[in-house]
Amino acid sequence: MRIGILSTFIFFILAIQFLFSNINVTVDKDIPKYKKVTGVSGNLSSIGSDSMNNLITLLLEGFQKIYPNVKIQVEGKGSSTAPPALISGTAQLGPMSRPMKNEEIDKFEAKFGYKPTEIKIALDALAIYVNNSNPMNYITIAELDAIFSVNRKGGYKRNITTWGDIGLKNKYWRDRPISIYGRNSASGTYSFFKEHALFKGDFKNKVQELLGSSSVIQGVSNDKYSIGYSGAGFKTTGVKILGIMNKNNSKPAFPDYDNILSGNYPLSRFMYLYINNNPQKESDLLVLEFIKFILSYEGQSIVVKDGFLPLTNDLINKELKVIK
Amino acid sequence: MDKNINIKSKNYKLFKALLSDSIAKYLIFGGGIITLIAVIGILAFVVIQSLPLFKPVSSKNILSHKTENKILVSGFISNTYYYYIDSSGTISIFEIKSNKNVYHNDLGVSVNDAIKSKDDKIVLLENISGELYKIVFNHSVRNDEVDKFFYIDKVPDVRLGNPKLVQIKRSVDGNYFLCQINNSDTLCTIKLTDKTTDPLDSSKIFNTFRIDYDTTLGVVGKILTDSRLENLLITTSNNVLYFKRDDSSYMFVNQIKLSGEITNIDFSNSEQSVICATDRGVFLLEFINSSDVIIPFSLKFSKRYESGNLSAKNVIASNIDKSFFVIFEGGYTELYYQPFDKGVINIANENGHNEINSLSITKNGKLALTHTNNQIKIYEIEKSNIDVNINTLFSKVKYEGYLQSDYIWQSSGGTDDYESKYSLIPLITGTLKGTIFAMIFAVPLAVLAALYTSLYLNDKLKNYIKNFVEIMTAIPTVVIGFIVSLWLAPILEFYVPVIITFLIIFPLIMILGIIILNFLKLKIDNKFYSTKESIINIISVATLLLTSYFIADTIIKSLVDNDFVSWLNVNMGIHYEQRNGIIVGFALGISIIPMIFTLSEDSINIVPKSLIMSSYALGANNWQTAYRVILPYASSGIFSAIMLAFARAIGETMIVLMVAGNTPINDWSLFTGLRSLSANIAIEIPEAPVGGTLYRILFLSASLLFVFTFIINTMAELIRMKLKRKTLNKMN
Repeated sequence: MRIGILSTFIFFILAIQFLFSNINVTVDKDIPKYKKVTGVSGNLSSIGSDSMNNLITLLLEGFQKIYPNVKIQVEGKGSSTAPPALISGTAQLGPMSRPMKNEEIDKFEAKFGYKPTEIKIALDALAIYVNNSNPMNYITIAELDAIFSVNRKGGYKRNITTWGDIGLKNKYWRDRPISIYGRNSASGTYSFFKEHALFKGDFKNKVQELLGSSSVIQGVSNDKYSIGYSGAGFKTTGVKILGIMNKNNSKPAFPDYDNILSGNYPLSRFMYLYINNNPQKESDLLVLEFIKFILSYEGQSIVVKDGFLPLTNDLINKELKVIK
Repeated sequence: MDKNINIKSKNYKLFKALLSDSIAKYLIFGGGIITLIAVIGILAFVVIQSLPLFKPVSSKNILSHKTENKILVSGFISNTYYYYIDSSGTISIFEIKSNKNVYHNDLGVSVNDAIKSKDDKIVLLENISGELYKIVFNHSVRNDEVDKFFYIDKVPDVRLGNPKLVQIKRSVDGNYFLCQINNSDTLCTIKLTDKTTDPLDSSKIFNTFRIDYDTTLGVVGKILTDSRLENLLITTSNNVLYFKRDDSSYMFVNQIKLSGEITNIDFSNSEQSVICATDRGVFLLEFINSSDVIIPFSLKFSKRYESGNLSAKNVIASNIDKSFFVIFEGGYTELYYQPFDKGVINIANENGHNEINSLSITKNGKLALTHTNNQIKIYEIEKSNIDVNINTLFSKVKYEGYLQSDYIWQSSGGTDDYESKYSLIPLITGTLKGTIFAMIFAVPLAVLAALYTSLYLNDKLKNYIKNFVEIMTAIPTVVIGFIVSLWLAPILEFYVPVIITFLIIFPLIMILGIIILNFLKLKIDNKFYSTKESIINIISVATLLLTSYFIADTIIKSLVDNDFVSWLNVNMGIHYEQRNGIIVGFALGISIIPMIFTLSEDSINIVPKSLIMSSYALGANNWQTAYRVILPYASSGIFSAIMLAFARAIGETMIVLMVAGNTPINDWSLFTGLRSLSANIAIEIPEAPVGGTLYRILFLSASLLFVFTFIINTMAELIRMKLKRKTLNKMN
């Protein structure tokens, strides 16, 4: 009986977490459904980004359901492992959570004589989380930098260590030190935040590094006086997302779908898939169909299911032109 | 017949016994040897993996080439060819490996002067009448396409001013610009290549910026812009002036006066610091955001490098790391590494016979090319671990962008120009801090509990308690970590002040109680051997605990106004963190208590009963027996229990990983978190490229852990033996 109550309780909590785990996003209904073609079989292997590992696996599994003859292989050791794999030919797909650097493109071009084909497959945003009881609603990038970074390359004049430093005059908040949560250095989220919010500066050594996106949320919801960054898709009931202002007077932008698409929200990024596609030759049917699958309604639904944001129909059409 | 069988079976039994004996002997021997080999093998593997870190920086001259005419400009084409253009207007291209001339041609330009971009993609030639030509090199050329090495093209409508203040810069989008100061107050940038359109058609004035430059500041010497054209530096004799772009004009920010005449300046690879070569040595300036000035970002003097009294002529910073080459007068070239004060290694040395005019580096940073007036030399430089040595690992380092030198661990940054910071000191401090806090928490509890259970408690209760504590060993550390980090850490801040005052109040109340008892002359039976008395004892201690808790709680509430953390910040300047030393000490302590308890209890139990009985017979009471007889006898056992627990706590990973917050802070505060060596390995190994610097440093920290445990265990064993001998001598 006890166990029964306990498990119902746990189930209830999980259900609530699930309900609130995504920004309310649906896939654009105009995106065409995937049409099956004949003659698709063979091996499809992917080497690249660690944060996209789940997404690529889910997409490949979805693809395999349509074409049972396709054998799949996924390896996720970080975005920088994708270019070498594409160059050596050990993988046909190179998922990356950042665009390829000039140097990597140069290396590819030196071997094949043409550039790798870049396809945007999903959108992602980092959100700044504070505890639900926190009276703040938005923050500027420079303040964020002054909270998280030792170097303050964002140009904020003072170091921010307490909630009073950032303008909370309330007696219970004024003298409270800010406890800072973040991801571990192995994650792409860490590097992205470092580059775009800290302007390549260093994190303070007081930033607590946690081993997963949900752990950060967990930490922030357990710690009233905390702030943390994590993927926007991981929001739960105990935390709230802060709007971000690019400059002091600009309107705060929240990581909702519109702001991300328009670029108003500064901490958003595309997820890329790189392939080796010779413009002079007929492209590989297997790879081509897989990309068409990702850019279909079904593919984008999988993107949403994995906590990323889908592309719009316009973006999809733009990307489809790239491979045609 | 019967007898025969008997003998036979006896023989058989003997044979069987001998056989099993020898099998067992070899099995045990083999097992032992294999274990030993495995342990030594692991240690050897770990150490071997970290050894390449200490490979010294070296440089070797692999090629010398003399020319007839004066060399104007030289450099590399990819990592396999080098070129030079001489005063006769001829370009020559050689393969490095064989020093074979693969291309040689007259450019058809009577060259007066030449400059090039740092990455050897573009060379600009000026002819006698002041017209400009650009040579664009193709670095992805193959052996059989010698005619595709470069193309040459006239740059229309542009003349270099006088003095020629030019710089070719690769911008962030991959295009090349020529930056030139037209007058002292305008900077114009001319686009030399454009990746999207036809490169032949792109030499045009791209942008002109106004510079807020006051001519009274001095005659302009050199100019330098970064690849975003955000920061502009202008030198005038011995000043460096810093301008920041605001849309289409550059505003003056500040200036730094150096003690020498500036001969050349260059950005580090991140473009966040500036290295200045002067006739009085080499200086480092940095863009730093410090609170003490009105302008948040300004150029600051960072340090002067030790370079003897030589006059520096030129400085060339590497594109891939924080190293840079300085060419001194007299043909001396030294490799520096930004955080180190001294030169790392002498690269090229002409012993004062020739002046080195320029130095180029390949894209991978492994080759350097110098030219004097008529000689080219190529050096092979091994500096893959230039950023790691005993100093960076174990002492304070002043890194780029920091105000002071410090112990910093921050291994990765996601971008190529990131300067990794690998100080092991915060990690060692973190490891020791966690372990020592755990020992402070666990040792008194476990040892006193062991003493109490084995000496004072009756057998029935003793068995219960002993079994219970032993079961605690079976709790997986991840469970302890989970409970402590999710449940205890958030509520601890409400109890910390209570715990601290309690620790002070509890002994006071206890002493008070004893005095009262003595005063009342109540006689307490020495021997608590009945269950009833034990229970009474436990209840009275519990009541004592509760009372002192409530007293402490009331005191604290009135003192810190219910907000201990703010109080701590305002009055002591201490920042309380939710995941802190207390939490780690507690969680780690919980995991080692059963170990210390059981082993100490066992060693107390093996004290001969005769010894205890004689003590009682001589009239000693329980405490006297425990303190004078049992403890000395069991001390070696208790000591080794403590040491074993210490070794375990040092290597414990899961609890620290989940509980400590993993902040690489270098302090001993109770209220800040920590990052231990073992947790650090668990966090960072997934991102460490196999064979890279970080990978090897993680292995180095693993060997450090091994050394720690080895030293502790050895010391523990030595001390234990000594203790044992001492007590035995005393007893005898």
